[in-house]
Amino acid sequence: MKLSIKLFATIRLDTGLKLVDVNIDKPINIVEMLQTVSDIIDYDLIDKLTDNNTIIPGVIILLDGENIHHLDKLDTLITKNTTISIFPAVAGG
Amino acid sequence: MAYMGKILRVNLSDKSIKKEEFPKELAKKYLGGRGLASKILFDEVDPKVDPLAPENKLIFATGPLTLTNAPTGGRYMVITKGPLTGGIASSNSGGFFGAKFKATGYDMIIFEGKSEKPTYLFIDDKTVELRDASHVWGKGTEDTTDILTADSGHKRANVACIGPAGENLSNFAAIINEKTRAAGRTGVGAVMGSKNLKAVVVASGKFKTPLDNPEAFKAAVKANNVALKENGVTGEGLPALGTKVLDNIINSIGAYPTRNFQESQFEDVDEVSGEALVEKGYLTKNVACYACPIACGRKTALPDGAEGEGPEYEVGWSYGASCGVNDLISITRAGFMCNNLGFDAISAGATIATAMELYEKGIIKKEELGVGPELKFGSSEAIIYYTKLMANREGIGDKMADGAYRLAESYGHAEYAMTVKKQEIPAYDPRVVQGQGLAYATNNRGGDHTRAYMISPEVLGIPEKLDSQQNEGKAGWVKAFQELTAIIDAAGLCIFTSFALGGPDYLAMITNATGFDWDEAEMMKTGERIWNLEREFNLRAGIDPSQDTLPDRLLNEKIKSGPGKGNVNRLDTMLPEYYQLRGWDEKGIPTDEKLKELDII
Ligand code: SF4
Repeated sequence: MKLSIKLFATIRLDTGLKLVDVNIDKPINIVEMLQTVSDIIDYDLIDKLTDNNTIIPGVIILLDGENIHHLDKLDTLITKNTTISIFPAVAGG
Repeated sequence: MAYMGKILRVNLSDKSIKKEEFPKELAKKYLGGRGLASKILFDEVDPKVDPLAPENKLIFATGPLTLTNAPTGGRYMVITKGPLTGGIASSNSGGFFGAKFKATGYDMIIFEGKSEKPTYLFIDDKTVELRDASHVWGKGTEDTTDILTADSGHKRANVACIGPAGENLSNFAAIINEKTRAAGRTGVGAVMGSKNLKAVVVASGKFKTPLDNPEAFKAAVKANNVALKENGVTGEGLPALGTKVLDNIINSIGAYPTRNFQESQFEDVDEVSGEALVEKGYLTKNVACYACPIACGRKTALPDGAEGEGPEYEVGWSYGASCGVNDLISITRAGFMCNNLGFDAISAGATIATAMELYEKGIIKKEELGVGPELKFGSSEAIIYYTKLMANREGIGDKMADGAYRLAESYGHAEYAMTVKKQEIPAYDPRVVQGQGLAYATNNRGGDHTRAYMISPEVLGIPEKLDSQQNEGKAGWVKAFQELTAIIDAAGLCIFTSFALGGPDYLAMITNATGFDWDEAEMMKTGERIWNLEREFNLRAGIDPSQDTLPDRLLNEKIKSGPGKGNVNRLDTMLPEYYQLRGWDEKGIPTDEKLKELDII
């Protein structure tokens, strides 16, 4: 399975990376996905996005546009090719 | 306490200037700023008046926390009957003008009548006088600010003024202070123009805001500043990327209105996003308004040397995705132009987007454009050209300067105007963010996001994450947000503080500044009173509840692709509950009982 992970806002500015592609051979949950990406980009996404195994208010993680808050939160399983968008707590307009 | 105790009443027709006692008893009911000024408008102006007639009044108002070190304590508001919606117009601006004005010893200015010739009001500690403005009439806000600052003899004078858009009575003209900060929405600049009032110049002031309990106030401010610093949005996201951090978020969830809301995702978002503004090197630094620890403002410089502020999220969208334009330089330049010409950049860009759709559908004909470029989606040339044309009301720019609704209606196709109560809707598609749709539809100032920013819970998850596609329970959220926002506006603060602060945090600052014996319920009741008073003004002005709605496209045309595919906004499932929670009858009219309970009648 191919995961396209798009990084935004301060994560993008800090790392200079927009997109990370990851191949996985079995379903993984959000925390495992974040750990995998953190290792690749050498940047602690778990610390940036979660607190005590919960999503920090304002953090947005989307699987094909759908917020994991309305799926299984950090336990959501990724089981197919997915575009994942990751935003730290940031915004207001 | 927390008030200067004096208001200025300036009659532009007979040139009289009166210093009146501040209505302290009313302040206990309406707090200040937006609340108190709306009450004065309600009491003194016939809601049926022509907004551009001398009988309309234009009120500049500060709040009790303006000119304090409460975080963002420097805002002012402009209240009047507006030409765009025909209802109450009410616009908030930051920068330094509000605080500097209050330091001259007044809480508010009420402008009445109409000057025979262009004029401006000059204020310092000793003098308040009307001066001739013929030498700056016709000039942009940048030159006007520079010239009037030089004339004042004070290098650090603060100027709030209109540009050509206001002089030419565009329905979406803004009032601009310090060249870049706008009391933007609802056409307050046109009312100023109709009075031949070019500017208000504040030269110097030495007064400080008296506080009821300075020690407790200081402690509350300190705690709130810590909360703002520690919050991811106000402490990190807004300082680093400004409001434009939203482009990618809103686009990713499929709620980023594109080409006049025909689509909901913009294929070139990466070219125009907040991240791109930083990566392309146009952002030079972030800037803050008075007493603001957040500093969301963007100073930008373009490769050709042009400098200014912005674009903010909304402007980047209105001239960008909304017009299908992916050229960040032109978008930024259009934003600079709006500041200088004195336009509300949301309405300006959105009106051009409507014109583009009318043109592409063959409704606006090529002949009408004269020598101008074609009004095609994606044309960066067109956004610059027609912005200028609208300010001068030249050619088709004359019709466009009346706003998207009147433009589309003049061709018999009002359905292409993406407006609520004739004001252009901002950058969030309510087919994906359901509660935001209810907030647009019920907003007392028409299509606008700032009176109940439902994006916060529905998209960002602050203070808690709601499902943006659900309708249940949204009415209660919208009502609560509308009331808290009314308090923030009336206090003289910026709504961005609400990402990190809640009711008790505002209460601590307000009570310790004013000495009011309020609990949180009383504070929220005040917000409810302000909301109902504005509603009552609108009803008397002839805006009936049938206007609590959204454009047909958003209610009936399904989103074609992206995460929101197939969605429409289901306003009909939320509106009855909203009316009921408000204590209004099923038709949306506040009951006498409710108005009495709130002491409005
Ligand atoms: S958050 Fe932004 S707009 Fe609000 S007061 Fe601060 S700098 Fe000004």
